[in-house]
Amino acid sequence: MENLLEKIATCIEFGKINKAAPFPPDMKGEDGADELTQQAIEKGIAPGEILSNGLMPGMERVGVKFRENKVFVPQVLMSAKAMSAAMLHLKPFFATGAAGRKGTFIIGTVEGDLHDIGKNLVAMMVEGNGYEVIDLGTDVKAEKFIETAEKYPNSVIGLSALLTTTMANMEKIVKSVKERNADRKVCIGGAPVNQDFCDKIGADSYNPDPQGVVEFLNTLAS
Amino acid sequence: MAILRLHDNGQIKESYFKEGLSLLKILHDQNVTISAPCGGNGSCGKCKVKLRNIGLVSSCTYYPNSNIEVVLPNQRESQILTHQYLHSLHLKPEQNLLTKVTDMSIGLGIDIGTTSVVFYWVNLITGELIKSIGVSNPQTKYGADVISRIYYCNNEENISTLQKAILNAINQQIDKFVTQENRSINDIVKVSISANTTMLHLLTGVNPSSIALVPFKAVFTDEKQLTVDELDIKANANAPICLLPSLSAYIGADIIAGLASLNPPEAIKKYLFIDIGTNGEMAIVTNNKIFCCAAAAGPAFEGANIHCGMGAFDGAIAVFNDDGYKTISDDKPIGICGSGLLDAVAYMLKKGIIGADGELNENFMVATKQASGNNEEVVITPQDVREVQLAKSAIFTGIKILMQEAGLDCHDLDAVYLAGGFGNYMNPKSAVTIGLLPEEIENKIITVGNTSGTGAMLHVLSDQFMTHAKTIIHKAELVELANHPEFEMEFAMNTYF
Ligand code: B12
Ligand code: FES
Repeated sequence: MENLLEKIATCIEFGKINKAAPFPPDMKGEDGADELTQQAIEKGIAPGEILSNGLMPGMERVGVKFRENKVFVPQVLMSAKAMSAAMLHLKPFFATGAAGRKGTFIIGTVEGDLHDIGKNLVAMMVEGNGYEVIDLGTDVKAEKFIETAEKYPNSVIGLSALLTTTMANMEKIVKSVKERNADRKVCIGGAPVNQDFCDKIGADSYNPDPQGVVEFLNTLAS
Repeated sequence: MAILRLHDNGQIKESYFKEGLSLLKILHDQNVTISAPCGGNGSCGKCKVKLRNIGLVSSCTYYPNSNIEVVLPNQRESQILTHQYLHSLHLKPEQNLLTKVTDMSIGLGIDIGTTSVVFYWVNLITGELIKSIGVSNPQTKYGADVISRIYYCNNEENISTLQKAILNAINQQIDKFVTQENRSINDIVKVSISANTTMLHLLTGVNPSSIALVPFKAVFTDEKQLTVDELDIKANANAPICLLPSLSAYIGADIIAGLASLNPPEAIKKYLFIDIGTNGEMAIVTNNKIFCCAAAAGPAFEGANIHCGMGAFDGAIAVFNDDGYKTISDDKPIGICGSGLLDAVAYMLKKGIIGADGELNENFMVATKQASGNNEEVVITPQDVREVQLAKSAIFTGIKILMQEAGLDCHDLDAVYLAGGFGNYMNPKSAVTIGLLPEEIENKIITVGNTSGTGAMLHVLSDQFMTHAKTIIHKAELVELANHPEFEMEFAMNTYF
């Protein structure tokens, strides 16, 4: 069992989606996250266990390598795809409450902006680390964030902005969210954003990379 | 009030400043050009200046509250590309009502780029180019790229500051020309202007904000004909001031004029036209349709967001290969500009210092501390390689998607026209090695320089140019990369070298 979960972790780490996937070249023809997760379920391993000891360690390893500049966007994207393939098997169990998650994370690209590659990476990385993620997409207004957050008590909001011009909207959204509920945690990110800006607009956390958000969420959840 | 002592090119100037302002603002008020690519939000680190006894500080986030002494580096004007003739359209000078009355008719073509402005003085009787001159765009100090400049336009006063800055620069050149050439303002009977969409908004004082927010729409794209009363440019009271038409917020008159200025030989039927710069505009021209997009490469090739990056100024490493580096003006190296960066990354790939995935373990030394002109080594950092990967992938993916839309493949292209400064100075081999451009087109590249300027000049010569520009717009089809379902995956995969 250990071995199977470790194999899943390896597939996630290196972005091996399924048997047919040509990527990465040195794992060609081997079972991928898709097949292995199916096998794990068939063997009766609890979905929560697969998530915490298969998917999560794999995702964490890429997250750390990405932060250290050892891998880049394509590798992380492939890992995310492998994770999605595995999640497809696990989701039905979570929906029925068969396995708990660490918390809910609501993410979106702020109003006025449509860059979403970075936001998607963050969303997938957070999901792969055991959180439920609600992705509101791009060009998202404050009301939408607030409305969604109110449906999920204790959820955390994540905002992404890639344009200098939409950083102003980020500020507006943080303000509205905090006015509505001062305790709601908001984390922000995106290339032009930095810690100074985060302090200035009163957001709770800034992180330059997805692994940082995961760690922030983990401290909140623990 | 505290005192600012400014060391500038051997001179020392003193002035007072109010405490509480950023050093960037204080220096701008003293008319010192410090580039602020990130618009002064502290993220790019390119606004650093040297303070005596303190060292380098980011001027946009430094708020001095006592006397300070700033030492500016000695900098000479960077090379500005003026015009091109290769495969260019030729138009005969056309007389208008004014050229008939004055026998000294002069036309002025202006190309307003985000970083530089080029002036073309044309004799409208003979059609000869009298002279051309390039200066930096004075708006640069309010933000290096269009988005930062739009960001600065968050109130009416700032919009007017930017408009005045560009109008002043234009009128200064006009004054200089008439004095030097012993002419009168009245002799200037026509002014034609080409520029990107944002620059045209700023020139006319129109709020450009909508260009930088979803759905990224310009307030105007059509051509305009104004009088000197409507736009404060010094010229004959009856001179028309013509602004060339744009296609959209990010495919401006500069690209339309550039496309219209080309007149490829018979054999060249399908071609790619591309300006490799911050916004990466490109077009694939086919018989009855022109597919265009802007690929948002970012400023890496202009040296921003690169650890030792700089513009193409003196002392910038512009070439790097097995024989070592070459700098602009052969000065001691103080940084690296886009073409040097491209070469260095291509070199690292060829030597196996980085692999296809771009992982670099430690800084790559381009010039040592001893060899450098500022006692700091010039290096490429692992993060710099990542920035190059994003920028080159944006361009490459843009080209691939345009080709798909046009139903073409690299082999179908008869030529690739590289416009703009970077395209002119970079080594096409390095561009292909790092995958900025597809391999198959290496032998089809024709550098054409500043085609936007050529377009402005052609329109000064003859209103007929407008017909050419309008034909381009008529055939153009905008390809929205943001809506493209395959963009994300393609873009990610193309970051591989
Ligand atoms: C890809 C791209 C696009 C794609 C977007 C595709 C998509 N679906 O997202 C396309 C081509 C559509 C695009 C369009 C535009 N773009 Co664009 N784009 C880029 C580019 C090349 C890369 C951005 C990217 O995806 N990076 C990779 C990801 C992984 O990084 P990231 O987003 O920063 O995310 C990381 C972190 O920031 C962080 N993070 C992100 N979000 C969050 C959220 C939280 C909560 C946390 C904690 C962390 C976090 O984690 C991520 C992983 O590490 C950059 C230039 C560059 N070299 O960076 C320009 C850039 C961002 N774009 C820019 C612009 C201006 C535009 C346009 C508005 C205009 C244009 N054409 O240039 C248009 C939009 C117009 C239109 N009609 O589409 C500018 C912004 C300039 C500025 N000063 O603000 C840039 C910098 C390029 C430039 N021209 O200078 N763009
Ligand atoms: S860091 Fe100062 S202008 Fe960018």
